[in-house]
Amino acid sequence: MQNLGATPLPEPARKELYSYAYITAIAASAQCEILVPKMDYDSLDALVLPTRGGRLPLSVQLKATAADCINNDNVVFDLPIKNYDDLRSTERGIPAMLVVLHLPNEEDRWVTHQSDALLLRNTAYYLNLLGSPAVANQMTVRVHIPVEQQLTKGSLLGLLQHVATYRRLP
Amino acid sequence: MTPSDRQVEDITPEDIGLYLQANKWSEEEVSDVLSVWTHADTELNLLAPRRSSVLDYQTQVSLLVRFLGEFEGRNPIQIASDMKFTGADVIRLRIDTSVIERGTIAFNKAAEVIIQTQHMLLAAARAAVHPQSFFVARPPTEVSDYLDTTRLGQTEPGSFVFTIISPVTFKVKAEDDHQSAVERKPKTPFARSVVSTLSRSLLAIRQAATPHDRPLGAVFEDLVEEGVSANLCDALYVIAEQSVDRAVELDFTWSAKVPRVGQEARSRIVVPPMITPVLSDMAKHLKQVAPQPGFEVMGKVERLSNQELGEGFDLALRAIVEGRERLIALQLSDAEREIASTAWKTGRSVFTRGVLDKRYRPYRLLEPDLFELINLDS
Repeated sequence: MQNLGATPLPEPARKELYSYAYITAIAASAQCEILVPKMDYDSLDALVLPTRGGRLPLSVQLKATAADCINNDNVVFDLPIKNYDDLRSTERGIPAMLVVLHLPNEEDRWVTHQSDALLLRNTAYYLNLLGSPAVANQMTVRVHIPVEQQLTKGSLLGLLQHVATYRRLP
Repeated sequence: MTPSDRQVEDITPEDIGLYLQANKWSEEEVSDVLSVWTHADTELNLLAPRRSSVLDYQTQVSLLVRFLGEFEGRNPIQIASDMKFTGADVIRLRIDTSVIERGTIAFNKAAEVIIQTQHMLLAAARAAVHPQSFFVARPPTEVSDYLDTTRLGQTEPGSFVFTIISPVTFKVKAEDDHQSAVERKPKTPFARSVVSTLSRSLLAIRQAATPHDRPLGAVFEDLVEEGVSANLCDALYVIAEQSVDRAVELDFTWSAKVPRVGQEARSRIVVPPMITPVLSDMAKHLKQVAPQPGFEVMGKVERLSNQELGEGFDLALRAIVEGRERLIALQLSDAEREIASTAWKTGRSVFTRGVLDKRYRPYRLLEPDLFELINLDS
């Protein structure tokens, strides 16, 4: 086969794919579809769409970090200002949240395949930024996500239930 | 399937509202950015965006269209297309293609379908002005103006679907000019009358496919009042020829801007293959029996009585029509009756001119604008 000179997938792209894999697995376990818009123009990477009930969707902005980001029971993440402003905006119809996937420092530990398991490390955290204050920052805004806000099947179902009832995130 | 951003771009919150209203949804709750709609039959709820300025407007519209596609069992692309054209009646003409054609159509077939579709619309528009079995002269201005407003939309998958957009917001000039203040009440736009006439005439032809105890030609003569014409039959015959199943299938999405009280927002009519092959013969028949205005007749009075001719016809002329000797019945005024009586007594011929209607036996000459004695023997 001819060598087409393919370059390795850059690290940000690899992190992005792990994020999608994580949210897709969690959503599937909660019996939800994942829809991926072609362009992320409004800080929307994926839509979580329940297949039952009122079927009100949830927008997700996905981020991933392999840095040591846990500090005082918070995940500390520097979010680009564009995403921060979009996620805090009341000018949207579908509730939106930030999901940060915390990856191990060593890339070979991001995913482990065993004979009876496929292990994705570590875990993802969610944060609702709706109504957060405007900031003067030019590049990024440091956000703090309580570590108890882990994105799991149970927490996702709880969030969707809240959206179905109140049409907004808690 | 979720439609792409391109497929939903240009759809406004007003378009969405009109579409939902026309499809039995009613607005229950309104917030700054969203409105909640409930379906009359199912009590299902959905959310619709109220402002196109919100960040995720296109995403919301895509999801809404996807949901409606599942709910209605239709391709979301069709729903998006209907939403974009809420100000128009949308007609979808489906041409059946064989499996090996993989949803494509030969250029020559497509060109033929487009030409005949325009003929079909023209026939419907002319029948909407005045039903007639055959149209030959130039169409009236309102018909030409209407045709200028119709558009060919994007083709759609599903065998091969041609989309015709007929904007109901189009107003013929006469509708504006001749309306007095007293008459200014909601009136069916001409464009809607055209599409309604088309729908009615197709239903009539479909009905003609059922067995009758009369010759089919006579059945079709009665359908003229429903908008059927030789021109329409010719167009439908050629369209059916391009379709593998030889049927003519049209799907109507009626504009929400001109609601049809008590009727569904969409309707489908299939003219079945058992009738389409004879449409060419029916077209010939309707051309033959089409009333011919300005027809001149010269002949002898055969009968001067209303005993046998019926329906107020009191004169039978014997004359040569298209090379054959025929009897022609006329209704006379008192003055014309005087002339006819003289002709009868003296054996002189009469010359008259009117609308020849060959649907009856004897033929009828209607609305004569001339009736005079002539002397062929002098």
